[in-house]
Amino acid sequence: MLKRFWMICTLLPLAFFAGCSGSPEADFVQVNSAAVEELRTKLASSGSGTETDQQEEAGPSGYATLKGRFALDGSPPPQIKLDISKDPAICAPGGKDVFANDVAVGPNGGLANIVIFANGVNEDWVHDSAKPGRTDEVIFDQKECVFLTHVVGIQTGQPMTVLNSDPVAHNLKVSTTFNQTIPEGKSVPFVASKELNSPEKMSCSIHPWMTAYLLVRNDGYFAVTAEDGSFEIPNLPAGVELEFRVWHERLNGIKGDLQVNGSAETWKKGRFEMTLEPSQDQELNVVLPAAMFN
Amino acid sequence: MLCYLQPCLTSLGESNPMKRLRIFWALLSMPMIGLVTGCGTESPDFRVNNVYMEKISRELDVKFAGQRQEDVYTALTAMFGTPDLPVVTGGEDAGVSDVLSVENLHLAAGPVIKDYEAGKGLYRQHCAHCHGVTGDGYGPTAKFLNPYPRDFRMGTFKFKSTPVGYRPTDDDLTRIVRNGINGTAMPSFKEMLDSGQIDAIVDYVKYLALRGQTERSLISLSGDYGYETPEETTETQAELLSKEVLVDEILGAIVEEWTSASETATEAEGRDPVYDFSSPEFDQSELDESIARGQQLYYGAGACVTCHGPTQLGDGQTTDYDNWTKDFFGEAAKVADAELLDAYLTAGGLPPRNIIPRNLRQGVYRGGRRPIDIYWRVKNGIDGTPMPAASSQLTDDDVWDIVNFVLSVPYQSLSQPADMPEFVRDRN
Ligand code: HEC
Ligand code: HEC
Repeated sequence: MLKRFWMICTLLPLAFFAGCSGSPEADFVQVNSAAVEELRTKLASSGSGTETDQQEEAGPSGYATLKGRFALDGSPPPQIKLDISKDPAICAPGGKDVFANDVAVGPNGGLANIVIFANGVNEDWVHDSAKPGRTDEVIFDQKECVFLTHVVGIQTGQPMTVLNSDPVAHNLKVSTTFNQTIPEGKSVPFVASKELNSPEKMSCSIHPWMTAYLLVRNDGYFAVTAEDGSFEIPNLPAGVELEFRVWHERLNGIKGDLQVNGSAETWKKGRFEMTLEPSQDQELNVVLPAAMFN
Repeated sequence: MLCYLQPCLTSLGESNPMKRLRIFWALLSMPMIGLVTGCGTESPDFRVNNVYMEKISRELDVKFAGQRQEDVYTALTAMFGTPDLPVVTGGEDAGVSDVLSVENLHLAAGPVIKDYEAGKGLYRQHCAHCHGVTGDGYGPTAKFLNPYPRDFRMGTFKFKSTPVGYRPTDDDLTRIVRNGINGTAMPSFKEMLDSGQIDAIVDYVKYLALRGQTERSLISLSGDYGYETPEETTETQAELLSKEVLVDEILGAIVEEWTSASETATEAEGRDPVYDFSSPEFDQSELDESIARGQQLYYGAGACVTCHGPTQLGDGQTTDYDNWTKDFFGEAAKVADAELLDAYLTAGGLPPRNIIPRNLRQGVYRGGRRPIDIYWRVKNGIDGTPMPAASSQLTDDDVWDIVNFVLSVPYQSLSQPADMPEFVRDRN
């Protein structure tokens, strides 16, 4: 033991110097000190920040529904096989293969589990049917170590009951904000208090391959595409420009060249802008090239 | 010097933390102490969060270089200053005085002053060789330690009285700095620093956390903005580098998390758990029953067995990673993705290691060995790690039963039945 101690100690100066001089230049950024000073003065000044002209913006001229479908053009990417490293009798009964199903392709290439929501909608413009404060309960269940809803959207404060229909314990870990055990056959309540701009990962630490996603929004202007790729967001403010965000598990924000209502478009950073006509359903049919998923 | 001696200490193994600590202090008291100046750099800078920039640039398809990166760090420097001259600009409006005192920061910050009495440069003297000048857990000794030193920049701490997702209280951080973290390289400072100095250092840890959280918010928000044309750049700068965004939106929200921490602390509820063994009323059979119930819960509704294993050796689930690693990779399985791993290491991430549930037979509790410490771990889970809070279906009495069981485990021999009475006397 002692021999090892001294050996390590003689070797360590080397490691020490490596550790100290090893930091690449890119670890530090030179900033302009005049710019820093200028900004500091601005931030330290009393009173609130820049006045916004939001007040002057004209309100919506009515309400409208956005609906349509997301579909894949080409053959679906190969599925990822999961490593069922625990409780195989329950999580992979009969030794069956279990797949990630992160790209869920339904009938006619329909893409399920895509999230679409209107971002930053002025609170005063939100239709009564989409106001914050929904109280109907969402059930989030798991069976055979699979979350039965792969992507779930809720409003802040809306109660969600987390069920465990398996004969083993699970725990639900929601990104960095929640982590609780759910005993076999039991349920626990969950309420989200913070709005998210992109779905957060949910997992089970006991069975780490289990994955689902949670979107939390203050208003009700969001949808998750169904098995056939369809979605509908009713009662959106019309006559004002809205920003929509679109997300898919494998792609994060959906970005790149795609087809919208039959014509070629390019989305950047998973978002696009749109102004709806009052009292008129707006179709949004999006086709994603299969290459996007490789 | 200390930078390179430290790893020897960890090589002594975790089995004897007391011995290790004694050697640690012996080394500390050597005359070389004055040389410990954060690895010899004259005036070190904060290191940028390359790992997080890499993550956001992948998510949003943007490059963190040129003006985008410069704006992020101009804002961060304007708001938080430098390691020698920390400030919290706009902190007054954001309510930062409820979280830390700027005078304290000056005590803890800066280079180590030779005259020890001056009591300045405390952080760089005592903490930076492990936690890094930036508080990124990337000090010169970090890569040799297991577990790695804490990276403060997510604001996530493990051993605290508040639930998962909430910030620690001042008491929590003070306890850690005073007592150290048993079974890890994190030393105790209660003999070395007086309470005023510890307060100053705790404020400095919070400062580094606020700064690190702000850096993350800035990076991800910056990814939303465009820099493609000169007009776009001007527009971006007018919006992003405004008091409204930097102070009201970003800093305000982060400070609020910290000011509300103490309200979220979990009070010990339920039956009085602390058995006073010296009291004439102490009833051994009552404790035995509690332990037996706790044991049932360990295998049953507590589900501890799934991770800590049927014999409490911590071998039930060993394939997961902690939040600091998963922040970049998203999920445990992705750590095996060679391209992703390479990008992570190139950006300066420390090699990922699986997080292992504690071997409960050793009786080494990192977050403290008092019943209340174990109560908090079980009731709230351990933030930043896979360890979940007990189900809200368990009562507080159930939790205390589990605590009593956990504290009894090191005193049982594997072959003996769980309701052995002798250990209780040992424990006392
Ligand atoms: C010899 C290396 C070393 C030194 C010196 C050191 N630490 Fe640590 N510290 C660690 C390690 C390792 C951990 C992580 C332990 C773990 O994850 O269980 C840690 C964890 C922490 C934590 C996190 C506790 C939690 O609940 O998550 C805080 C806060 C902390 N250290 C503060 C300090 C301060 C302040 C100093 C200086 C006064 C300091 N440390 C000096 C190694 C060190
Ligand atoms: C999903 C896996 C998981 C489950 C379930 C779990 N733990 Fe843990 N536990 C961990 C991990 C991982 C750690 C190590 C965390 C760290 O310090 O990095 C840990 C640490 C601990 C510690 C050490 C605390 C300290 O201060 O050092 C105790 C005690 C503990 N667990 C008790 C329990 C009990 C009791 C239960 C059941 C009520 C339980 N755990 C359930 C994973 C788990």
